[in-house]
Amino acid sequence: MNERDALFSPRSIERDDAVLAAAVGEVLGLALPEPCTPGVAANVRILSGHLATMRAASETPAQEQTR
Amino acid sequence: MTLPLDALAIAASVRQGQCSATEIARAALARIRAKPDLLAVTRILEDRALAEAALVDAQVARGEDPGPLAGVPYGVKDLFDVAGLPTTAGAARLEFAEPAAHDAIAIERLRAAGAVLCATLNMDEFAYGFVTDNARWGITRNPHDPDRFAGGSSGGSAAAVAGGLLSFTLGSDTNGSIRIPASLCGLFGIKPTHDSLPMEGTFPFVHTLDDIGAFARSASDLALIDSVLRGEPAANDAGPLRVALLGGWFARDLVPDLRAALDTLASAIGPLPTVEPEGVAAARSAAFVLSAWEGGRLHAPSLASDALSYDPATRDRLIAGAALPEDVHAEALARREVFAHTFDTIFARYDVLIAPTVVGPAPLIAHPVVTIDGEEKPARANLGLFTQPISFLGLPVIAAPLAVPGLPLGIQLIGAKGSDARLIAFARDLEAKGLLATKLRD
Repeated sequence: MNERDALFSPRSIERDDAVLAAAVGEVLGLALPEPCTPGVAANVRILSGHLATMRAASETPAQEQTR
Repeated sequence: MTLPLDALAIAASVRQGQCSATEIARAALARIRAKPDLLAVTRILEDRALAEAALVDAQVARGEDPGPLAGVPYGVKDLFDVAGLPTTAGAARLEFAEPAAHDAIAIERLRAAGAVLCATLNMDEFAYGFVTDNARWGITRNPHDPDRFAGGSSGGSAAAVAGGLLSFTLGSDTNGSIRIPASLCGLFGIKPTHDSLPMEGTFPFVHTLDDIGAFARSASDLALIDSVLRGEPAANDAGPLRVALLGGWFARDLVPDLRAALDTLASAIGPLPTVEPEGVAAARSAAFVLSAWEGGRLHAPSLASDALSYDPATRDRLIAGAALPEDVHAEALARREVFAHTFDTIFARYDVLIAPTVVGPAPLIAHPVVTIDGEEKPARANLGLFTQPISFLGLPVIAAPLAVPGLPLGIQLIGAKGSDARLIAFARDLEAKGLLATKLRD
């Protein structure tokens, strides 16, 4: 698992905001300004959830019914 | 004489010399100035509007036809290039950027058809949001209840039409940014087949999904405007159509009034079969991730040098998106292939699919949430529950207002790629039957 994959893993997003945002800054190669910390951490967690949903999809065909 | 506001009526009056384009433009500018509290308009283009109107009037005086939108006043979301002005994309950091050298192609086509550009319009910064809560230009208010959002990201475009400021407007839709504000403000709008309307001269957000489209006071006006933008004649007749309702994912969390209105509509058209496509959750999440990935990379250089110049609500989403793994983009596109196959199968049996646009009416600004599966989630990121899976496929959609009492509620009329004109004709049919109706605060 590379650095970016690890960032969005279930274990990674359990870290507190400051640690998670710092990890984002490290991946991007920049020092995140402090006001970004809570929002960036929250959005990493949201994206982690969407990544899991995208990857967990089942591939069954459309269902149809008449009501 | 009361001046008309509908695009068709204005164009007919101006072409016949019953009123002047200059009178119409002055009236529109006065209406804009009378409703500053909507926070729909970012710049009033008075000099340009009066100059364009004078050209239309001169053509009429010479016996020439100014075009099918003669003298019709309109505005554009602040991500269309307007010659001589910075294209802000709703960002304070671009308020004093280098002015655009040329108009966007869409504006050129509208001008050639006689339309008169009067204003640029508010939006979520860089089109990344569903509420039009802008750190520089404020929160656009819903004309039907100023305590509620107009929707976004093209909220200024919707509020300007629903509030009676302008006859039509242009917006953009990546994940729902035309359909959602059209629904919350009670208007017709179109998210066209992907890449079928000209994008040149617009500020990008998510290249893979971005489209432009119009907001209108009626389906007939929408047909006219869309045909001008497309350079093709509008369809007069939808022809026989096989129609179905989308259920499953698209039937969840609806407020009772919307559920009842959908049942009423289905009974009036049908009875309609219900189709429950699989894989919608994954498709919506893939659209969400794809948007974050492309938006984040587009803005990464600017965020690295000057993050604090961004709207915080946009900035932190973009930074997180910029950190997504490289291969996520390809994963999302692979997911799209699978989901497209699901819809290909459905479109083999049906021509039009009907789905709600949003779970209910416009959220309150003081309580900016949408309830999904019993849990309150931020409206800014989650109003696109029903719109994101559809635009992910690049399908054409007409956002259409249900004929309901109270606050506006809207639906999506969804077709296969290339069926835009037929969808608009279908919307006109439903409007003529009284099943769809705009809500306007002229």
